[in-house]
Amino acid sequence: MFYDVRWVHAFEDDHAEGDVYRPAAGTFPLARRPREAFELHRDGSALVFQGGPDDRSMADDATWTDTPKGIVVVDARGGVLYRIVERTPTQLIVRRD
Amino acid sequence: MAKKHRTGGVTLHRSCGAMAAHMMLLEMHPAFRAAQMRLEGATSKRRDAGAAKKARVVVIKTVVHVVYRTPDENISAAQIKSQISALNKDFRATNPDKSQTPVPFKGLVSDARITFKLVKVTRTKTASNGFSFDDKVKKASTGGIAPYLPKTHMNLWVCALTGGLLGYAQFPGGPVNTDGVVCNYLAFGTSGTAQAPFNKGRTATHEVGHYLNLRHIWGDTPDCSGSDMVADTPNCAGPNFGTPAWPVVTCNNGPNGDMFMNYMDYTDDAGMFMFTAQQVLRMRTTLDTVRAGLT
Repeated sequence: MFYDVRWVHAFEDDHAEGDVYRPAAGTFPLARRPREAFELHRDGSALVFQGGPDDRSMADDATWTDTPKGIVVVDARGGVLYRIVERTPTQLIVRRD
Repeated sequence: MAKKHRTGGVTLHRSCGAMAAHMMLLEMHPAFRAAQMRLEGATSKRRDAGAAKKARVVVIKTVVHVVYRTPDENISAAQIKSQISALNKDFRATNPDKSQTPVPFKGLVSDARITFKLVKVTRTKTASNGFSFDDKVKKASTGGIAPYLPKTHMNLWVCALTGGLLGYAQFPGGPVNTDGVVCNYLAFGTSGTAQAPFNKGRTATHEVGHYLNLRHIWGDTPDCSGSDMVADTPNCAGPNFGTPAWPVVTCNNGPNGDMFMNYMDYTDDAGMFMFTAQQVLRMRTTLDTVRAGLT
C-alpha cells in the first residue's frame, strides 16, 4: 500500500507539517485545478503527474531515493520535486523544500 | 500575455513538466504538431493584420454524450439545455455578471460571436464508476461512446470523473477519434446535479476555450516566463483560485494585476466572466482554419 499506488494531492487538507497526498482510489472534492499526483515503483523509478495546458494530467518520468530525511523524488533533470516525511497506508505528508 | 525571452540570440523557454509532456505529445503526433503550427502561423498573421471586419455569428452544432452508471449521472434534458444556454451567453458576452469586470479591463470584454446549437444527445450506460483523463469515455470498448461526426460537430461528453476533476479538452488538430470536451456531471450546466461553486456552466466554457485553441492565461509555467500567446491578457505568475479580490498583482503587472476573471483562469464559476479581443481572434482563426468544418 505504498509502492505502485497513485498518490494524489488532497490540497484542501494541507497543513503546517506539509502537503497531504492520498491514494487515488479515494474520493476528492471538485477542483478546477488538476491535482498533482505521483507513483513510486520498487525499482527506483517514479511517475509524476501535473496538470497540462488542456487540463488533463500529464505524466513525467522521475526517480526516488530513500534518505535519512525521507524519500526524495527528483525529476529527470535532478531537481527535487517532493520529500516524503511521513507515511501511512492512507496518507503521505510531503514537503517541497 | 505574449512573451519572448532572448539571450544572445537564443530564444529561451522555461516550462514545467506538464508543458514538457504536452510538447512530447505533439512530437508523438506529427499531424497534431503540424496543425498546431499552421494554426499559430495563421493566428499571428491575422493579429498582425490589425482590426478585421466584424465577424459573422457562427453556429456550432453540438452533440452531448451522457455516459452514466447511476440515475443521478444520467442528467436531465433541462440540465443539458442549461449548459447550452450558459455557453451561448458566455461566447456572446451577454452574461450579466460581466458587469463585475474591473474598470481597467472593461474595454477588453469581447463577444466571440459564437453560438452553440444542441443537435443530438446520446445516453450510454456504463459500468465505470468514474472516468479519468485517459479518453476511455470516448470509446465504446472502454465503457464510453465514440464521437459523432467530430469534423463537423463539437462533441461534449458528460460523465463521472475521478479525483475531483472538472473536465478536460483537446486542442485543435489532435486525433479525430478523441476530439471534443469532457465535463464532470457535477460541474455541468446550471441546474440538476451541478454543484457550487461550479454550477454556472463555466467548466464547459473554459474547456471549449481550449477546444478553440485558448491557453491558460498564465501560460502553464510555474513562474512569469509562460505565455498564453495572447497580447491583451496581462502576464501573470500562475493560476488563481476561488473568487479573488481585485487586484492580484504578480509578475510586475500592477496596478491592474492578473486578469483572474478571465474564463481561462482557474477561478470558481462565479469568479470568471470574460474573454478578451485577442482571445476571440484566436478562437475565430481556429474556426476559419483547423476547425472550419464546424461552421
